[in-house]
Amino acid sequence: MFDIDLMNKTGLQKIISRAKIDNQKRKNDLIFGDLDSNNIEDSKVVKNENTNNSKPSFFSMLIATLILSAFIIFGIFKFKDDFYSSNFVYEFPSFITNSETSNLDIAKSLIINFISNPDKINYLNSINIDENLTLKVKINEISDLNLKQRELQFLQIIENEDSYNALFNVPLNHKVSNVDLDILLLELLDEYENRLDVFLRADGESIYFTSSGKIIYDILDRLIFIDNITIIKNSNKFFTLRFPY
Amino acid sequence: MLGISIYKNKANFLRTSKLSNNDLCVTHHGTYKYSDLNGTISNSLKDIIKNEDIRTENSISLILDTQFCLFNQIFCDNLDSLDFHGNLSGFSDIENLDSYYYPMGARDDRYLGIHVDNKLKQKIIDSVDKLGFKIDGIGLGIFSAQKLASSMFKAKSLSKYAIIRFVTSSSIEVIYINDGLFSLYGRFNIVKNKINPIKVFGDKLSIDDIAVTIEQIVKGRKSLSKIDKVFIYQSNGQSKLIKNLINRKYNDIVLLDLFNHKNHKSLSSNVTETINRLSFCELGIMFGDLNV
Repeated sequence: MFDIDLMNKTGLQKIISRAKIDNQKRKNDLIFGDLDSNNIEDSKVVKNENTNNSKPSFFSMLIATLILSAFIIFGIFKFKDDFYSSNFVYEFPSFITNSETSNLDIAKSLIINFISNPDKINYLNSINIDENLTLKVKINEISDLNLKQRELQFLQIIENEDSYNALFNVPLNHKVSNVDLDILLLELLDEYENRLDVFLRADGESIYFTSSGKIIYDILDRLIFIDNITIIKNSNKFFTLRFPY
Repeated sequence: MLGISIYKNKANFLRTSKLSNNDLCVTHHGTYKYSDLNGTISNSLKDIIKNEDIRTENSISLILDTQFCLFNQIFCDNLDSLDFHGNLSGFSDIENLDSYYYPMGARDDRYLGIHVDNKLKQKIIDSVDKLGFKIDGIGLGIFSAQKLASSMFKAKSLSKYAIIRFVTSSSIEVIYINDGLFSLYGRFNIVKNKINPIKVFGDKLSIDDIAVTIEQIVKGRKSLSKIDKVFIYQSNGQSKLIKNLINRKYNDIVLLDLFNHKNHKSLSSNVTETINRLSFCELGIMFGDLNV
């Protein structure tokens, strides 16, 4: 898109520029209000900072730490799954499970398993956290689940005419969060609306996030104690999280 | 940096200052109203400098309302045929017009003609010169608003988007950017939810995209099928459609509110205030370099 300047010479304006996205450019902010005159620099003497020479910011260090933590956490889950899938786990459960594991931890573990473990995704029907903050994971298969002892206590078998379905019913035992929903949703939209791996949609009653299990879990983790949340499986790789607003 | 957008009966102004970390701070903003265009041109800069106690600026960016311009479309391969097109369209017969032709769409020979009364332009330049100010540039309303959408509202990352200005509650002005290329300029009237094109320049596909998009907006659809996003504002009056957009979050329709570019609900509580703020987006040329 071109710049219009009526101070230019009249006639054909041949300057054409396609939109360019410079992701390396330092992000600026817009501030409103009066300034201390000491903070204002004449535009002629403001120099562009060379971002290549800048030290890593606190934020980038934080992101790096979070990514590293995520790898470690998923490594631990993989380690646990490997042990649970064999008979070994039943002989030495106390080494890898905490007997005081909270309902919330069990709920999160169930959600992660059913949206990221390729073996269990197949069995998932839907995940819902209702207004009373009770997690309901509906599955359509009860064999070969390799469930942990602590998960079995929340399992309910539902008998249909021609099959057995199951439901994990886990009260989260947590207070409803009084977080500012508008700000939280804006933060989520800012974070995800321009990402190619996240599809956002709203219909006036709810907002829908569609993405991979990992991202959907990240979004769920931000919204978990606020309102009714439903996750449905679109395919074995993509899920849609519905949140009313 | 000081910017003033000039309308028939009013002038909006913004003053920004660059901080040492390259962030931009809006230090002053406001609206001055006058009885006619002469009053606006002659007095606005003088009043702003005096009343707002602005001492450190010596240059100004001006934005002119597109209502002061005439538009047409030409197909032209070289400069030599401009006179031919001028004669053909009749613009050559109108004296005192400064004509600018901007490339439109993917074709190499399609141009949007923008024609402005050079006496009006000279009068504006003289009024600024008289006060010892230098003019950084003279932009045009909706095209300047596009700069704001591009820099502050991340439109530059979109494939297809439009800027819609409600000139009045029933009259709209549209520009359409497709794949980074300016593809359409149009004016439409909306009467009883029906859209009547008044003047539309662009290729057929762009016209179809925009016609469908406007219809979807008028019908209250919350998502758009033809284009990624529409950035919308009002420069005068209070359209019912704009009022309905305030305090609501639509994925595909964005209010060009410079003062609430992150769309915080708490900043949009007063509908009149929000609508009044919208016309400041036409000073968007001042934020063209900002990368938020």
